[in-house]
Amino acid sequence: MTSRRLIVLAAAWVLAAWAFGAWGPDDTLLAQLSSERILNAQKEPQNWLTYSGGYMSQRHSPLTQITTGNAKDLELKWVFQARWLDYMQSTPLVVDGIMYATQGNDVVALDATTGKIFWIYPYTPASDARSCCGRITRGLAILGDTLFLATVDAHLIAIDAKNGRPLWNRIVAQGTAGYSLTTAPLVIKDKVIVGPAGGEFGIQGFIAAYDAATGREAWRFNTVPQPGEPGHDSWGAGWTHGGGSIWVTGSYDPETNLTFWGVGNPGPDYNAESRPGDNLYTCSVVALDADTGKLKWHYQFTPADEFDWDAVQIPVLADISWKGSPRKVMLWANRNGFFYVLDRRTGEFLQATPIAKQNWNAGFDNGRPIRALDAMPSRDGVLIYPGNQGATNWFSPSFSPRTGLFYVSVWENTHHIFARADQPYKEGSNYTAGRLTTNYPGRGITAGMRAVQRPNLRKEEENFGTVRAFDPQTGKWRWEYKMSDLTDAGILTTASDVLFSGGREGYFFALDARSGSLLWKVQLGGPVQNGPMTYAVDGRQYVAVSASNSLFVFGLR
Amino acid sequence: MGVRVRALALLLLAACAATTVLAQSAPEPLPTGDETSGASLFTGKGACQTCHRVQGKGSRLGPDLTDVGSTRTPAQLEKSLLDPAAEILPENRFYRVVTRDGASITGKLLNLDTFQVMMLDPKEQLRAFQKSDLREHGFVDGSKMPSYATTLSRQELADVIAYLATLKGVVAQ
Ligand code: HEC
Repeated sequence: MTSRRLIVLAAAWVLAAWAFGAWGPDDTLLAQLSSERILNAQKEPQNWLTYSGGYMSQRHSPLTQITTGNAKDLELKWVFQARWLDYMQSTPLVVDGIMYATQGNDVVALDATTGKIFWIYPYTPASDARSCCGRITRGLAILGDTLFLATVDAHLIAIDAKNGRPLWNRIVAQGTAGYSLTTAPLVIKDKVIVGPAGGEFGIQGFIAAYDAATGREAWRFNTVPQPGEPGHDSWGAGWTHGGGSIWVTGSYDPETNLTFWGVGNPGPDYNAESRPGDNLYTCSVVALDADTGKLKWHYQFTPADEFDWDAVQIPVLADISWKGSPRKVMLWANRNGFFYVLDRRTGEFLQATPIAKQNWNAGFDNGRPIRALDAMPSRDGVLIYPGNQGATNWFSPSFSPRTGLFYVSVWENTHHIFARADQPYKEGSNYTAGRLTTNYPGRGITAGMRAVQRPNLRKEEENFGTVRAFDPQTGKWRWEYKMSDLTDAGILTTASDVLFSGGREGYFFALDARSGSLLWKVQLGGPVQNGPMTYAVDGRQYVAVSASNSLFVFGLR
Repeated sequence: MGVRVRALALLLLAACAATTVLAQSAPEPLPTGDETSGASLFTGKGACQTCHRVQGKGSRLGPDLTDVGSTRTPAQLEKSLLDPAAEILPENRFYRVVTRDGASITGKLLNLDTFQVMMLDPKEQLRAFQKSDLREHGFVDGSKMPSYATTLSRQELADVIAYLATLKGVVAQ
């Protein structure tokens, strides 16, 4: 072959490759979303790669385009109206300009700049699946080109992120027995971790890891220990319906390879007579080896709980200075009304301070709470602050490494009168064994779980929602932003010291993270029920939040 | 059958026991009321219409009583007339605002949020105020309704209650 012919041939090859080559599968074209990228999420702040925005779960973004100075210029960029009537409690993910969001249990891929739909993966959970609190999901996980969806009927489904086609579908637990998956899964290395909700149905809770490629179970940790497992003796015979649900996403510390998860209440909720003991690992945080699921340490916030105080909060990891030296801690505002600082390497209890009015705790003995004597549950009923929905709940807090403050959505002044009752366990039925009443003059004032769209008439002494900025050093709050109604909104902070949150009143607002002063607000016409998140495309920063069943995205004018 | 009869007997016994307890603690029972006389007391001497509305007539500031006969028992109605402040439902709360120019307005609270107060004002207008425009604002404690324990006789009270008991709502025709 002459060199001339060679050149012609080569040119033809290049042309052909140019014309058709893009159709061939070529992994080098786009960087995969590797587990290293998730590990270093803070290096690509334009993306939002996990439920809480990173393994430390600080819900804090390094993005700085929106500032305390220009937040007043925020305007609506687009809305995604889900064809779904329940609350949207999920946090969307954004990867390289594509947003992955949910619509009920459907998954949608959207253009993150316009909200237009690339594809929808429709999923209708089995109609006989049980869930206590709405047929909702809190979001997705992603690894490589695969999304992971946990469904209300307790399936874990892998979905191709490019075309919305299912890749595998794994039955995690039995939906008709009260197991449901509402949490956004957490990807660590090559595994997807989830656990079932169902604390009101007498489930036997667990945290399990599945191989991301095949869906095969890799390990399982029982949040209610089985016979022979450590902690089993903290139950009596009651372990068989012990609860211990999982319903918000855990965190991960690569340095110790530990993954941290908050565990729900013991079953039945309001009567401990059938479960004598501390009821491990309910109302606890557990630290598990991410490769094996082996328990490294645990801390139980509420031993032998009878007030429905799930420890289902986001484990926020922070590296702070503690009593003069650097310390790797976990910050935890619990439903039981206390803000805890724990050493995240060992689980050592460092400090606990009240976040709202409480009357059940008379101090701590070596980290173990001391029950106030007049706060002992009975069949006649006992008045307890906070109420069963807690002084805070599942909604995400935020930690800003810049301000050093830990921001929490708090319910102040709530109470319930808790009375034990008898209720036999029946599979798939609500299993709470108690009665809840209040001293409020009407039903509309109750600090209930569901944000009911009706006029607010409550007085401050009855209950209210507030954003409080806690200093971990003292455990006290520096400032608060009070609302008239309650709030189920999570909190986002940014490296420009802007804080975003909302509430049941339907406002979405920006505060100065240093002072708590209001920078901007907008009325969205329905309760804000998720954690806001932020991302950027083509150098423009966006903030996304949901209210009722729609997703709203804001950017600067 | 036998079980049913026995259950009924037990129920009756329990009911008797309950009335005895009631009779001991409560003052004398009211005489039998006359609803026609109650209706005129409602619009006349009692001046109930200055605060209450029935079938589209009267003030909207107090609770609309059009269906109070089906939502409340005579005992509850008696309690409302004798001790109105004993239990005020959230939907009957009053709120007072003072505007920048010093005008004070007390109305029936309809909705309250972090930024806004919404009420029915004394002129029965729907009003919304931005808290940032107000000099002061807050709940008004106690009841607007006077007790009728002394201003109405026992017979008059019974008549008014008999009238209220007939108010069963707007009937579809
Ligand atoms: C000055 C205003 C005022 C007058 C006059 C008044 N009421 Fe009331 N009433 C109220 C208000 C306000 C309430 C709401 C609850 C409260 O504040 O006690 C109320 C409550 C009631 C209730 C209870 C309603 C419920 O939903 O349970 C009844 C019954 C009632 N009034 C009947 C009467 C009758 C009958 C009269 C006349 C004999 C009367 N009221 C006169 C203001 C008034």
